[in-house]
Amino acid sequence: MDIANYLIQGAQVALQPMNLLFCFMGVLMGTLVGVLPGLGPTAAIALLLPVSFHIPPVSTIIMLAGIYYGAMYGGSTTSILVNIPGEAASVITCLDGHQMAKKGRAGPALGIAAFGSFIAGTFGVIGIMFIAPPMAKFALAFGPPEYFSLMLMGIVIIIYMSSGSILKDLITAVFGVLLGTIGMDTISGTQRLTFGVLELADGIGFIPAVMGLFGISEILVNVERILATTLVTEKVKNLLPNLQDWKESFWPIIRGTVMGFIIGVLPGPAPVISTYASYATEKKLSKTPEKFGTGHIAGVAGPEAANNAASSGAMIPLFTLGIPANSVIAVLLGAFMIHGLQPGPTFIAKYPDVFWATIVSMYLGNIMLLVLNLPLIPLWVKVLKVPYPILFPLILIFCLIGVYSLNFSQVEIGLMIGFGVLGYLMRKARFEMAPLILALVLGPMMENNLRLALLVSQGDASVFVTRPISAIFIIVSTLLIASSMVPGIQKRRAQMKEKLGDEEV
Amino acid sequence: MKRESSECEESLTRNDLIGGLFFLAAGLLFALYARSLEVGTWDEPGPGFLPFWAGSLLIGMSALLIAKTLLRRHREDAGPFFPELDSWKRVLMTIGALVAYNLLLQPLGFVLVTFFFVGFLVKCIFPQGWLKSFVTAALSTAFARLVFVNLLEIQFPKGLLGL
Amino acid sequence: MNTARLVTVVLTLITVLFFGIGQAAAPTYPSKEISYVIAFNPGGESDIEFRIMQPYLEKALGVRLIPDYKPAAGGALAWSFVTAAKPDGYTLGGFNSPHVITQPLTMKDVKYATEDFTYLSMIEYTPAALVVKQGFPAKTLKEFVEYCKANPGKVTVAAVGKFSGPHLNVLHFMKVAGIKINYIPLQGTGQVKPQILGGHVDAAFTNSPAAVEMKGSGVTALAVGTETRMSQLPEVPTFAELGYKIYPRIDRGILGPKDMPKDVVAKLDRIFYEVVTSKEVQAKLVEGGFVPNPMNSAQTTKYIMEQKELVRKLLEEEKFMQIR
Repeated sequence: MDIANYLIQGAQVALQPMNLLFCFMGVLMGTLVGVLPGLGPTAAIALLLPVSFHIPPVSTIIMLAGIYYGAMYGGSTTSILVNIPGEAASVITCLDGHQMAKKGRAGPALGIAAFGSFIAGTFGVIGIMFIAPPMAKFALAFGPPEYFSLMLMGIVIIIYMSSGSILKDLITAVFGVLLGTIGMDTISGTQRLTFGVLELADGIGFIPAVMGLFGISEILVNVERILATTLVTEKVKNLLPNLQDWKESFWPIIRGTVMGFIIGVLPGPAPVISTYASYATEKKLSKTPEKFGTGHIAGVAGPEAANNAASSGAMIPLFTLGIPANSVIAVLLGAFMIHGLQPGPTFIAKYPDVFWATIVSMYLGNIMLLVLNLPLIPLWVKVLKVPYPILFPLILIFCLIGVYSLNFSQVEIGLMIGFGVLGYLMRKARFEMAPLILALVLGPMMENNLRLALLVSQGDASVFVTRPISAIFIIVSTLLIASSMVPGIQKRRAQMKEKLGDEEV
Repeated sequence: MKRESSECEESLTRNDLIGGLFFLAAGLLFALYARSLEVGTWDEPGPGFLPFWAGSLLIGMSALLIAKTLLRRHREDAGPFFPELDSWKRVLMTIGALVAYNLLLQPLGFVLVTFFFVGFLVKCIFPQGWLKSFVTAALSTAFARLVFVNLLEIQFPKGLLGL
Repeated sequence: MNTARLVTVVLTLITVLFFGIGQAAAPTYPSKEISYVIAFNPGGESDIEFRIMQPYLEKALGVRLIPDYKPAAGGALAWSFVTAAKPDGYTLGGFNSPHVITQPLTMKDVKYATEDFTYLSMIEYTPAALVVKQGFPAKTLKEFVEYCKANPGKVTVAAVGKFSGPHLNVLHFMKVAGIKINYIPLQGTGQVKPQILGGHVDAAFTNSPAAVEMKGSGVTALAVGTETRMSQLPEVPTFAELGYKIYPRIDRGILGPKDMPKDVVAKLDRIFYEVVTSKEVQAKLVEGGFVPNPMNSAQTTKYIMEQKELVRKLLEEEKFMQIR
């Protein structure tokens, strides 16, 4: 089969010592970048771009790609350890990952994240190899109506993740949508709620919001009590996932990989959506849904696999159509162009050596990442042992530097602090924060696509249900809403009865 | 730091009342602001469309929450807002330190601000010794400067001492 | 208890003294690194153009050029920043036209005016191209115009932004051709490609590199905005040769805050012009998909002001001016 030949060719290039070195540098840099919140892959790639001028194109691509998926690995580390997501895709990992860390199970959490990511990444590369062109065609079929319906479904999923009052979660979600409207509206060109502050013209930055809502608020809550001890009071047990963990994580990883890959092909913030989708799916399918949110390993394994598979999937539009799925890949695209490599439908045909060498190096990169990350787990776990009075200022500095290094904007630091206070108050009043973040990310896109769809169809709203893909999402969303209300009503009745019964006695 | 267990029914407390009021106000703010933008129709939504309707939705849901809380037969006591007597001091000081960092970053420069920030927090929030504070502050500042400024070449404000 | 504090104070004093002594007299320009503000994300066209020229500029200037990325508000943030910077020649920036013209005219809260800069150099431009989706009934520009006239307001044409450069290109073309279309504003080139490739819009005004990349995927490029046909798209006619005397494109150059010292401006003008006209740099720019268009400071300023008049007229006619 042709592919075998190509792989061999690719391997010959990828296994050259120089390229191995670049691959390693890339994944190392990527992991670092993923661990340091705020210092996104974009910044890292931008830093290394000048270096790339002096090295051959293949090596550049190998290194830059390494940074990209390396960052995905690293992002989960901070989520699990200190409840600060390294980027959008790691938000979900915080939910159960950090809870596991608090129970002394940071090791298994980190471990399953690493293994799950590795498995997903490997399958992702296989996916790219074999089904890139048809997947790309599939992605192209998504126009504004399809995106809108997809995002709608994404928001409906929030209801599924709700472990408490659905009403309160919806309130935070709608609030998130409103916050998402701040900024310049691209369709009409008007500024909304920016109050003359130009920095807000692009909307509320995701990183300041997330670091405030999760990181700073958590610290504010902790600071209330005299915590002279460490964050984790229970003894740290095994450092790796045990057999039981693997049993519980196996299917979530498989499902997460498939979901992540498919969603990842769609241009847009696919990794985020895939993690939420995976989490919601696992919770729905699990026999113990109430454990989610308290440190259930499936809640880490599935989403982590999903986001790695999604980042592999995101490479497909890049190689087959020259379409960058997000700003990080856009930098990669820029690197192609600087070296005279013309991206587009003819890319694979014109530069098979580059393409296949990159594929092989992605395999290698995944292996390197696993090897790199596993021994680091005991080290990371030690971080949790640092006495909190010393640890928390360091975490705060981390956040401050992280946000500042993004855009050098004091407005954004201010925003982060503001969100920190908001998050703190929300926690005290027991309002969940995950719906807000998801709504903040999805809301603007949902609105944009809704209006674009109506603009193109000139006001004809039937477009959402007459186009097949869009119709499917709408139907699924309706079903989700319906099915979540029904058991809800029944359960409520049962609980009410119990409560009343208790009271009378 | 209690994580809520997944009860389908959640007992509502005074905090939910306050929360409800807050979101009600927020919804009102957005909806009213949206009126000054073009709202448009269902067929042709304008920039004010989503803020207005989402704002209205928020108002409705917050009202519902407030109503539910008020109508509940027995309200769980949320407990005091601050778990310990001097909690508010620490929380406020931390917030203050963060704001000060932001404001003093340009005039004083990265190195100084980081140093004092870490030192202050270590020393004053959960009282530690002078030496511990100084060492932590100095080490973390030096480390941060090395990694971010020298290694990664990120431009941080040079400030007072040109550091 | 006070030992630690004492040590800190002493150390601080020593450091202050040390740095204080290091102040020398004002040397010739440039004597330290120059900050180059880039109004868009790394990896984008402005960045690529900068990177191509960076080594040559640094060599000629003798100091390093540090890129300072300030993407936001389509570049408005970066340019507002440059106007407010000290005009000592150590803060420069890349600019895009017509962005620096349209933004003060159409965006609220923009903190600069087109005249608030010293225009130092023009480097290149990226021509726009009109492409139609696969299966669209028109295969030439003439047919396209006829089709639009027969279906006024129905043909969907996508481009990046509202009141942005690409949007203006569309408006200009509409005026010159006498047609009405349904304009679809998108958020970036990354959005334009999937929409046109997937057939969700009928046509799009993209930049030429994108048109080149989409060759062979079913879309047809009807015209480009260059003066002569592009070597990468030899079969695509220019708007001009088809009778429409328009050159839709995005121009890029270098600027600094206004009121910079005359000798600094003269020096930069000379150096930039030398670099921008050198054969090596021009070849690299072509490779990157740009069309070299070197101008010196005076020529650039004149060009910008002329463009401003054109843009103003266009916007007034379309009643899009929101402030002035």
